[in-house]
Amino acid sequence: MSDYHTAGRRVERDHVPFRQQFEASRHSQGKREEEPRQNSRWLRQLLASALLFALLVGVKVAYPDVAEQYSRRARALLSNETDFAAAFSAVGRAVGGEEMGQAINDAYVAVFGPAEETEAVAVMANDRTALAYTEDNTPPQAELLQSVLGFDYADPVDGTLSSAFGYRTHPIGNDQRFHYGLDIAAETGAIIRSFADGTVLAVGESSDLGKYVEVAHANGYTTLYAHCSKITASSGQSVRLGDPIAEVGESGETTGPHLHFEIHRDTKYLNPIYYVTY
Amino acid sequence: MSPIDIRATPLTWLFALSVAVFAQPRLTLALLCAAALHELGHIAVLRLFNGTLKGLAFTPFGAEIRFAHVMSYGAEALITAAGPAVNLLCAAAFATLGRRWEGAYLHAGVHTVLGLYNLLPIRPLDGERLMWIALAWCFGPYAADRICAALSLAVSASLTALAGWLLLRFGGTPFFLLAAGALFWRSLREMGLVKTAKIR
Repeated sequence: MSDYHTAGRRVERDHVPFRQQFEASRHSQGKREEEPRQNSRWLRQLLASALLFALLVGVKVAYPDVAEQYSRRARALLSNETDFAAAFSAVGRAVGGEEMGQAINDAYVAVFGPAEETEAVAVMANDRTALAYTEDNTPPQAELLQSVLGFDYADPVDGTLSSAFGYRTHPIGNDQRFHYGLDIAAETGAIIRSFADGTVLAVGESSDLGKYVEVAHANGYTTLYAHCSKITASSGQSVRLGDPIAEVGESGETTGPHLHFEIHRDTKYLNPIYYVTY
Repeated sequence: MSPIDIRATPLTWLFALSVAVFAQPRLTLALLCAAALHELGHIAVLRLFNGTLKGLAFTPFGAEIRFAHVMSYGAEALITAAGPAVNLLCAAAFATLGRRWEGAYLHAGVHTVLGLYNLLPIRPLDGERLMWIALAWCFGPYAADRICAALSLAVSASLTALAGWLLLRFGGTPFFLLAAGALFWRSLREMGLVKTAKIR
């Protein structure tokens, strides 16, 4: 026992008993024979590493664009946009006795990223004017760019714009939500006209949208007209630009008579402001 | 004094290279400082007990110091504990400094994480070494070897599973999974359950 007490740590521990049991025969041949083999293996590994490194440097010199692209991709893959410096700083703040909950939250955000929609909402709520909508702070199904529709169109109703496309405090829920269309305030009974030539895709009623009608146009575009008091078109009917299809109302979740107007392309919601004159 | 034997595996170079390339410079600097202070803590106490440093081995898990002098369990425990202790003391110091200089919080965080990470009971980290010394003192080194090997395997396996679950559940960086997985792999190799060439 006293032998072990005085034995140097690494000298004794280099021969792990488990390995000795598994490799008893190899060890019995003595260490001297093993050294050169391990040295050459080490040398080969070093050579392979050096070769890999030289190759990387070579690529970086010869094709800087390609190297940059792959470097960015590798960086994204490895860190997954994790801000390690921010994570460590947050840990430091926690140790420093700053508000523990806030520091833990900072560390979480730095490692796992913000909870998806809430950040954009919080940013918008804090500073409405300073922040422009980008792909990063809007839902993925919202299309922000103006598109070329490829057909003639006109305003669906006479009225005034009362709520735009984007984040807003919901007038009933009182929370921040993305508003996927335009609200056009008008008198109850005002005629809603088809935005463009097309076919009535659906006529329906829901608790949220109230009475609504959806029209399919060319090139995969559809328009939605909601909160109507009355739908005058019927499903499957062909309509021309400007044909009356419904009347303004306040059915569904509303605080007053208006038309909720959306433009879709496939699964995307377009900002209708580009295609109307309010 | 004989020259100090310094070793580093190719994997270490790869790891160092990727840290240098991918991490922000101020983070790399903070990591290097914390690692250097950690090792200096070990070496300072080693000198205090008149031990000589035989070598430094750099592994992806950190640097390991080697000394082959006659050491009592108590002295060895102090030498081993010195590294993490330095880190935790530095963490407290930097955290206090943080009120005046925001950048100190990064150092405080790095020291905290490094100090606590080294106290994990997984070989080759300091925590396992301390545990080994305690167990060897109570039950002898033969039992300590076995208990520590089993503990290393169990803890690193649990950490790997936890990191994998976190990655699946919350996404984020695969870094923790890679780090825990590497420790698990090393524990397996240590037990002789996986055979690879031992690099010297």
